[in-house]
Amino acid sequence: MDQERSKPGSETNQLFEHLENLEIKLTRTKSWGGLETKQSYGPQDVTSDYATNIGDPGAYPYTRGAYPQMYRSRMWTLRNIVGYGAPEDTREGLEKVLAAGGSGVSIVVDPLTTQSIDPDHPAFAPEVGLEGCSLPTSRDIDRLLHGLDLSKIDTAWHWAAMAYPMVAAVHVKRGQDLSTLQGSNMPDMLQETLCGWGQNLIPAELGHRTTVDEIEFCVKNSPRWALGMPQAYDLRERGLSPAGEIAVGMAIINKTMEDLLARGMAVNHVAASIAWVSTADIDFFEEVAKFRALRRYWARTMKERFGATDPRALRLRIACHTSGKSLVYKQPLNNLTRTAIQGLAALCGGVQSLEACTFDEPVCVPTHEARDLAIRQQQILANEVGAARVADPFGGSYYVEALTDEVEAAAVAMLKKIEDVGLIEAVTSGMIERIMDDYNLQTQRELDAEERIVVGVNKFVPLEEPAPTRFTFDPTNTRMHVRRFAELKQQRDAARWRAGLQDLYCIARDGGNPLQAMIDAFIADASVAEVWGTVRVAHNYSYDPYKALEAPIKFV
Amino acid sequence: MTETSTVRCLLGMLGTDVHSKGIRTLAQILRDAGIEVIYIGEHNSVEGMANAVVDEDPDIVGLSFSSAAYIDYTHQLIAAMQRKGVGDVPVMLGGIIHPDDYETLRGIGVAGIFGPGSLMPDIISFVRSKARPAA
Amino acid sequence: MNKNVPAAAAAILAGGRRAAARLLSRAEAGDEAIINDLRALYRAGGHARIIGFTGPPGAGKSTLVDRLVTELRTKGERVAVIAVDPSSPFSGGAVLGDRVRMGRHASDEGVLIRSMAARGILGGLAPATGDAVTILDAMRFDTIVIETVGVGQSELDILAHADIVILLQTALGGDGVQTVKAGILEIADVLVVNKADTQGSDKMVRYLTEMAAHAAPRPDGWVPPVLAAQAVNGAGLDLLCDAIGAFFVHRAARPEVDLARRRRQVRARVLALTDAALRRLLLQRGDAGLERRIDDIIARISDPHDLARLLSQRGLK
Repeated sequence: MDQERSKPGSETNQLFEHLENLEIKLTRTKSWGGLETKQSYGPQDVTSDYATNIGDPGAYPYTRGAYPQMYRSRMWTLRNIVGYGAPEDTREGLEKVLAAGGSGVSIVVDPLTTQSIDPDHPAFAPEVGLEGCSLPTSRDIDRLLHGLDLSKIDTAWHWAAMAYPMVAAVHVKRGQDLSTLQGSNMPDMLQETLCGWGQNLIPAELGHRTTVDEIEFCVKNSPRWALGMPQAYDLRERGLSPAGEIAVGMAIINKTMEDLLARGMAVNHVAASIAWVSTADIDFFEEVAKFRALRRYWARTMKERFGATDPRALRLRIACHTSGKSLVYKQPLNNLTRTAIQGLAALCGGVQSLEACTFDEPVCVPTHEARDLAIRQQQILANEVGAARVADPFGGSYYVEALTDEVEAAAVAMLKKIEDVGLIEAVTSGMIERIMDDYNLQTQRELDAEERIVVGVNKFVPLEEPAPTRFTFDPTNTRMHVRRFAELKQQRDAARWRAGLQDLYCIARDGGNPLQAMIDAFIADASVAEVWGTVRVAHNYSYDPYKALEAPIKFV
Repeated sequence: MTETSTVRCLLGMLGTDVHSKGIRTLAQILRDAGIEVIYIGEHNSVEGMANAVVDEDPDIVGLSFSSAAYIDYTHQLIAAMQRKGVGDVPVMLGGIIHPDDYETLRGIGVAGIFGPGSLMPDIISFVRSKARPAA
Repeated sequence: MNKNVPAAAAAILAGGRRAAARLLSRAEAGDEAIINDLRALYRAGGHARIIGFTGPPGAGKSTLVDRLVTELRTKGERVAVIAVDPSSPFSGGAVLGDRVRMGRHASDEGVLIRSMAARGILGGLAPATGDAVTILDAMRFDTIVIETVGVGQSELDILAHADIVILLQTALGGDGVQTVKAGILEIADVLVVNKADTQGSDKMVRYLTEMAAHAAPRPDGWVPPVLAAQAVNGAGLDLLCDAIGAFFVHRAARPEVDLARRRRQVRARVLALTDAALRRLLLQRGDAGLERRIDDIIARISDPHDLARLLSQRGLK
């Protein structure tokens, strides 16, 4: 037995000894995205010329912001996403958000609806209504939004291509015109192929083509409907640095814009309808720099590559959802700190709408309490922190201007690699997938080596903690919803439904823009799987990407 | 005399889940630790994954989930594996697994649970510990 | 039928999938106790057609094999696929991901897919590939496809096992024509330029066709056809199936050529087995006698030739 140890006070001596050796040493000088930084920056590090390469807020190239007054003239839209169970359940959650002060309606759909799979698919019953609202038909969307005039309130859909035709179907069925429809969705389907969906679910060519079809149709017919392109939030979550976000995102934009121009659309017209869906990860300065570099690169590209002249096409609007993957499961209240910083980065970066993750995001679908706190966070940022007072508060910071240039340079280099190969080929060959896998592997190695420290993950991990509370909801409505769906399929006007799908098939097969036919099919009570499945069949793919179901009609 | 037994680990996902980046990273980490990973990717049917377990004869099966449907799907998979005579192959789960469900999962036969914040060295040791002697 | 068939072999001959998979794992691990099972299974085999696919990474082999399997299934064949990927030279581990591209066959009882890591030094085929073929052949699969990445030795290795070798190339990378390795025409029975919609593919098809036409005539008189394909949508698959069929007809009409090839293959397979056994012997630690001889070689009292001759004369113990 060690005599020293049994002496009283010796434990305390050891503790203090330990403290004397305790130093917080920086394990990492690189940004989270991997850019090396210096110990300090000075005027010599800022090489961009203000007039030509930075510009005032609201002036080309829009580095400092899309608008001159930024938040003084218009506050960012505060959004909180809602979505779970049946339409009735999500409606309840929606009403709570609006009561707490959220100003935007922002819906997320369940994994089946996202993938255009119906809730009666034999393989996926356990997933109906999880993580999002099950919305297989336009009648379900009508239920969710009953009493809400879609020409007056703005619904944002965390959902790709099928969102627009389904919501449009509801609007038209209510007797209103497509041109009055307000709202937004995220029609970027190539992003889906890249982010774990794969070619089986979204063949790259078909996905890209559908995106172009939808943008063309929307811009012509529903000018008040905004298109979130690219959906770079998921691209980042999948595994890209901030520079990578700009590179892959712009590769998608460039190809999409080229194809739209080839169809006779005008860049001034199209670019104005697009807003970039971004994220804010935890490296505060790098994200601010990214937003600035992104706007600049966008403006330059629209002007020099596509010949845009209208400021509405040159100034990029950005919608931001703070990063989910950066949040930590253990000691989840720490995530309030993280999301606050990320929200602040987005605002200092000049975004036009902001959704913060709730602190319990890593654990479950957000609880109402957590959603409440997320709203309050933004209200504190708006009213107490002064985040809204001044446009581009970091403009002129030697560090941030230098970092903006670096992020842009890294993005340009990656974009060139992608475009040398061609975007579709870069997707189908797995080149971009490899970039993402490499980034994730590198990150994991840095975590394992403790060079990259994440509190609660590889350092400062609490030993014991109570299991986090999770969001639960009564599945009764979901079960009723699935039964109701089966009934609809029995009761709908079969002739009308059949004609709707047949027309859609012909148009899609013959290479036309299928959006109007999709809307008509939804009005005729076709389901999301039936509509997308018809388009797939028209392009010689299997009706059901999971190959468990056959098409419900034989197309001629 | 046999060679040092190389551990073979089958990794994949069930259901509609697209969040495969974790399991893709794990596959590479395990490879770097000398393990052979049979990577079957996303969107496997229960039947398909169980068949893969029969034909690939892995020492261990790893599933990753980001949605709350894991109890249902894991149950279905283990039942299918039992029907096909490979119920003895250990199954480990990773991803967003809630501590309240650990007991239920062990009850249906899950051998290892690596929820959020699990460390790679722990996963590697667990996988290695499942190596069967070749004979 | 030999009544002394060991248990594992008997289970496999009765159609036991799990038993087959287990025996294959033991073969991969170099378990010498299974020799009698393998011997019994070998004697029960000889019916399957063995098709080898090789080519550089990214050429689309798995996608093409997936399509071929679908095609063969519609003809009622039972198909097995051995998908070989390289092992990491640093860690010895591997990520075997070819199955992902063949996912549609996962629920089909008439298809068996087995992933194998090369476990060699320079890539190439897994040492247990021959045993895998033996096992699958005995299970009465009509066609066995061996798919391997064409790096290092593997293009040559596949000759030891396959009745027909299909080489996949693509025109990607711009200078595709230059990357075609010299000597491939001696290995490949059919050449496929995949991703035929890529720029440069036509040029590559023409170049390879000319090469095939002007190469020294093969002993069997077969001129390897050059096909264009797009595995992703199945374009060219029917031509590939035709070419495979034509090759087997050609081969069947020349029994002496066929026999010569089989004899070469037996030699290659036996060599692979003896190589593996010798490797195990030489690489083992703890044999005092062996270590002493190695010390002698270092001390220049003996030399490597002495030890080599001793081992080959003694036989493999």
